[in-house]
Amino acid sequence: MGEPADDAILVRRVDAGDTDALRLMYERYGAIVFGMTYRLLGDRQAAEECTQDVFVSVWRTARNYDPDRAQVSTWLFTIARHRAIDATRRRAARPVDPHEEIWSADESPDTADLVSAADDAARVAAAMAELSEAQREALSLAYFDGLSHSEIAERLRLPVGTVKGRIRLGLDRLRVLAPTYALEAETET
Amino acid sequence: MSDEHRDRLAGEALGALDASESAELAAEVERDPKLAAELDDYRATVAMLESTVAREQPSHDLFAGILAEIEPQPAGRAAAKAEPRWRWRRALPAFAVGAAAAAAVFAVALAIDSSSSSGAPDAVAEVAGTPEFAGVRGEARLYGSTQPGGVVRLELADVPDAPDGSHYEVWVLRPSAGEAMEAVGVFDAGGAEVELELGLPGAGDYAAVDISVEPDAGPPEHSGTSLAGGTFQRPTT
Repeated sequence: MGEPADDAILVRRVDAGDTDALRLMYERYGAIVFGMTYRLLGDRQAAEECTQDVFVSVWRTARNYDPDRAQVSTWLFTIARHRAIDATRRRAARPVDPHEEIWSADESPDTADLVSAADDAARVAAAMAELSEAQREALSLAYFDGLSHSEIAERLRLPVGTVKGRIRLGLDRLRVLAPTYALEAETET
Repeated sequence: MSDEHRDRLAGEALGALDASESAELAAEVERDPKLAAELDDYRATVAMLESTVAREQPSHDLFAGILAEIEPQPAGRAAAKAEPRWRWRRALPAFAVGAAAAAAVFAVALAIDSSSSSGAPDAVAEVAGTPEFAGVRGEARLYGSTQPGGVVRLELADVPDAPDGSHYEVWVLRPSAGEAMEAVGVFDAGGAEVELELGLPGAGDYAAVDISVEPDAGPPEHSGTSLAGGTFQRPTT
């Protein structure tokens, strides 16, 4: 498990109007949400707008979060899954604009494929969230920032061996978690 | 197989090994089928990640946009929320506007009395470079920001010179003034240490700072390309 207790406290603080708590949630999960929506939407601007929508939704619906139904990360990535699907459907359904590229018949996203891809993305994102804070931090710097072991060690002021071990253990954990990780019941209401 | 081997195999799959270490490992993998199989497993895990979560970072100012959307808006501002995420606004000092119009290369805006940034700051932002400028780092501090005449002080390290035909521009986000970024100054010279002290456009609850790369004589809007940025944190009391 990651830090579900800490996450649940953050959500309670967000519900109380604490923007610092939302910032901490964003720092913890923002890159994963963005990476997930970027992969689903295929467009940086659309992914940023979607990520923004996700965290605004977290802010506005934090009181609906039920820790008995799902972990915070599961709840968060379920919101992201919904937002990405909505954004893709809106983009596919909007009126034809001769000045913009539009979906051709062959490229139009099939609903089943879209939902399946979104489920896969949410599952893997949730598995990443399950890593320990230390593993996720080191792995994220390698994965999202493209840093080398030595650069990460310098950034985190840790021995290189420690960084290597955290990254390896994080990947080991993902290898086990991601294929079997099941999204829990949707809790966004 | 040792943990040390597996550490390096995982790093290789992620692209996190230095070139020399990667070459050394490649030779070992070629000789040892077990290492090759383990490397394939790690690569499959990374491929699974890449197929579902892109190896991309959002813009540094994205959280500032989120804050701008959730912070209470002044009356009559509701309609603006339906507009695009950013409405960039330039609020440059007159000298800088003139310089921009002339497509000149700008001098560092250090026209503020250094005494204005003494004492404890109102808020501090850790400034980090965007992926394209990952080496840039530093800090931004606000002084007197809740009243007219406040300043933002930037101390940056490892700033490359602005690319030919462009310059850097410093922007701040003040949610109470709307969802736009306001430009506060320009500079073009990089260096191992760059210090700037720039006047703020007014009193406010500044949420973020951003340094953009702007084409000389370009339009007044933010170019969309950032050198670095950060969000302000206020000291807890």
